[in-house]
Amino acid sequence: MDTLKLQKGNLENFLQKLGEEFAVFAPVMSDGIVSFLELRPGQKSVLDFPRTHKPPKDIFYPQTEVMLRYGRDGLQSTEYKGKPIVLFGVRPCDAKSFILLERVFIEPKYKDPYWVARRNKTLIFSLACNDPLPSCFCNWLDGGPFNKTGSDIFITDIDDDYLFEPISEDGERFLSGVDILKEATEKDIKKAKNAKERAESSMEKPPKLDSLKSSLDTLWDETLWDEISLRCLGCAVCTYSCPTCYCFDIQDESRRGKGVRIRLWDSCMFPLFTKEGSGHNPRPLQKHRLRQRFMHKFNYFVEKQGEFGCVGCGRCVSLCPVNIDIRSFITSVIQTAQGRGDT
Amino acid sequence: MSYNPYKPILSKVTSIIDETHNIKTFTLVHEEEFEFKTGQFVQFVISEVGEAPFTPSSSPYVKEKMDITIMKAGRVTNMIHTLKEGDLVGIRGPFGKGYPIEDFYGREVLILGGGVGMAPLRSLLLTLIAQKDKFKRLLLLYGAKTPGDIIYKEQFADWKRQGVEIYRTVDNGDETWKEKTGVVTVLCDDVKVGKEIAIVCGPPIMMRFGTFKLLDMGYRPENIYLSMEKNMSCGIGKCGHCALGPYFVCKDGPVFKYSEIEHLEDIWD
Repeated sequence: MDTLKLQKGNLENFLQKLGEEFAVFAPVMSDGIVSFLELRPGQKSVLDFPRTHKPPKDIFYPQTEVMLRYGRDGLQSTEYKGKPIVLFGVRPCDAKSFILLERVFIEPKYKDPYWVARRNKTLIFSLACNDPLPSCFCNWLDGGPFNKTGSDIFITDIDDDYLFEPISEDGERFLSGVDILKEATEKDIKKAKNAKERAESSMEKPPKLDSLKSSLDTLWDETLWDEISLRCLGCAVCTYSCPTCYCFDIQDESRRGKGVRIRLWDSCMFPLFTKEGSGHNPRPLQKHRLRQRFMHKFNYFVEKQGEFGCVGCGRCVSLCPVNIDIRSFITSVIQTAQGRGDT
Repeated sequence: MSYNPYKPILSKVTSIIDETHNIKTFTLVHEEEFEFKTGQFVQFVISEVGEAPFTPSSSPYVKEKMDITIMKAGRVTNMIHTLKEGDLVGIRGPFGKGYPIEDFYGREVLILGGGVGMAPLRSLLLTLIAQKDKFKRLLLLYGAKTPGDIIYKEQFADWKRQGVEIYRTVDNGDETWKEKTGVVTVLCDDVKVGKEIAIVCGPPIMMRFGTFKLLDMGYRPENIYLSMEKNMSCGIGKCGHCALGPYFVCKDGPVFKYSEIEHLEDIWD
């Protein structure tokens, strides 16, 4: 199927139609920031946003979620039972993050029923980044501002229109049934190509990360962990804003025999995360916790899943209150290992 | 409906035994069918408080009830210790990999246990005893802080009758104590062994020095089995709490061969 296009003026109309069949989550201006929220009738979506503060992972994996309800009539599981979900306008880094998260949530042995229920029959419309931010580094990690990994339909903003390119079979099937779309012209395709080249060349040339995993194998006791952790406040904004962090805690809340089991995002940056019932904590210092975060993303995840557990969205870079920059950390790891002749 | 690993089943506390001043054994009768392999763990859910991971201490061949031996240590276990016979609790699991019993067939099995670490080892021991003819020799080396801290006091004699060679020590003896004194590794010097299979379970410090002692004795890293303990929560390798290097103890363990984890920097943390 060829690439199609939608006139910008028809976007609301298109989204409204989409809403008849799907629960549509799109970037919306709310409380002064852009967030992915379920579109209410008449609500406008904002597609010229640079990056949402919060990654869209919470649409499939809410920050707090009731898993079970219990009371006199027994125990009920509360999986999502709503309409299939459309995620409209996610950036390519975030679209790719779902692929990484699913290595965990739908691995063959244990599928997470709550993730599966929301993700079932979803469509992901990802939106190319015409203007990557200075903190973006998707191009370090096999991504890019026009990367199509994880996308069902790929959208490019070309001034007066949006181009819709079907990527997956589901995407193609969906687009073939939408009459509001027109076929894109050669001129449109050329515009998208130019936008891609412009966006890609606006990003700095990435360093080679081939030796990153093996470098980390040798740096367990290095002082670089002390240096970086002295600044860290342990606030965990890096993990909450990370599209690929997935750790959670399970809590039971009940009164008089009635209650709920909930899960909440948790963070390896917190001392309580690993503390055991006896009081023993295997990661008592912030440097141990920071090391765990970096090792998980750039060493352990690679070992288990074959790729880095980071998509280079840059949220942790721009939101860290003490300016810890994961990119400088990555380069210093490689340099430190090279300086010692370990790689 | 598909399987939901986060959903507990109901279970009734049918008896409670005081093992020591801070350790109790709870016998549970489940309201649904429930099976486990020795060495696997379960989440013990207590209403209004939460859940904590424990390895059952009874034989997996006994299906109609299950024992769990629990030391009072933190918030959840303090609450569990207030349970009374007849109370309902939740059980979730079983999770992780247990002991690969078939791999031990035809071989000598030495079990090195410390303190409440004897709980999962009792389940293992009962599993081995149930098919004792399949093993060349069974040895149990057990250490506790004081004679009063020894759990399953009444059961050692029976295990001995079943053919298990038993050696015991306490860190601090008293006038009644006629056996060995010292940390559990002192027992290793008393036994002549073929150094085939060794299994270690106990507090972190004992696991560490117990393993080193076994290596010194000539046990091979791939023949030493450790039951690792971390802050396991979800039980299915998702929530991240029990990460040990690239592994999640809940899913990839809790039983590991030493050779699988010896290269990890945080193995003894």
